[in-house]
Amino acid sequence: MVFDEIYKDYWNKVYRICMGYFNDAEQAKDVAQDTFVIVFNKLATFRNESSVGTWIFRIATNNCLRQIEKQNRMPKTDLPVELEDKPEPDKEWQTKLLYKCIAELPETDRVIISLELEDVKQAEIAKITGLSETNIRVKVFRIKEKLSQKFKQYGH
Amino acid sequence: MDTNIDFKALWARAADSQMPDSREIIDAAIRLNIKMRNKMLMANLCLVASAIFIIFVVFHYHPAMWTTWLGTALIIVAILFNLAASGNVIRLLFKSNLEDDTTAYLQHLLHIRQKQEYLQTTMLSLYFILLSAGLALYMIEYALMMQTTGRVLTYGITAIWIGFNWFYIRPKTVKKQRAKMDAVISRIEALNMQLLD
Repeated sequence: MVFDEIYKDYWNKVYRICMGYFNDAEQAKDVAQDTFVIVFNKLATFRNESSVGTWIFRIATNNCLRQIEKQNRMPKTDLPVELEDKPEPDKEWQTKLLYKCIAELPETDRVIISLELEDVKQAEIAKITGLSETNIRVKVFRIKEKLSQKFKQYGH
Repeated sequence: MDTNIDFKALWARAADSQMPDSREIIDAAIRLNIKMRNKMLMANLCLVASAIFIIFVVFHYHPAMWTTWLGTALIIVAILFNLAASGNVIRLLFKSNLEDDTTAYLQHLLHIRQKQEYLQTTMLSLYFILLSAGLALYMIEYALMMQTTGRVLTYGITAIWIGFNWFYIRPKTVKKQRAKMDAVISRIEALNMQLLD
């Protein structure tokens, strides 16, 4: 498969997963870029044992998780100041809030919910994370509940 | 606020408008490959340089006693151990596979880091032992040519230097390496626990 095609198809997906993990545009872009550098270097040895998507998401999520070696727990918890007092949240505000809430979750929960929101099938999430499908279903349900609570808590 | 929040719709709104050109990625990939190759070359160069050094010493000084030969060899081996303990060689030996699933990746990473911690501290101790023994043996031939005061002074100073390294520098370095690695290990362990949760 041609790298350019993969890159175009997956850049935004990978970038969003990194954003969900770091909630920092600069860092998300760096890690997403790094992911595609790895993808480019490994493409020749990719053996189609899994789908390209599963393969790329594995590299992307592991790449996010391995950043834990370089820094401490990292959720960026500060909302931009100018957004704090906004009474009627618009879509952009809500999007930022969603990413902030996700970044406050435990690291592996961030990965799972990011993949779920990216519309990756739960069977595929199971393959990416190495957990059972049932386990993923339960986890996704719990994470969504946690996320809704956080979202409402900040929203009100 | 709406109770049924459409997270997926909100999620999809975030996209990077400044998607880097694919050429940039390819260039970065090529640069990374060159860097990795240079790293391997450097590690090998150090090995070759050490080998050249030992050959030079042996041919240039023609030591008469076997203790000098053995001492030189031990010092060289110590240097090699130090090179390995410095991390680059270990890192090249134990590579994690980013293509694994998350659970396997994290477990493997944990295993690697635990092994690395053990190897780093063991190799450092081995380095000091070999270096001290090598130095003590190496000096015998030359100390025998000195007067008693010279011998006592030479071995006395060397003993103080070795003691300082063994009792001060070594524990300090080990402690520093352990603290750093322990922090990393506990963070990876926490991630593993999250998956089991």
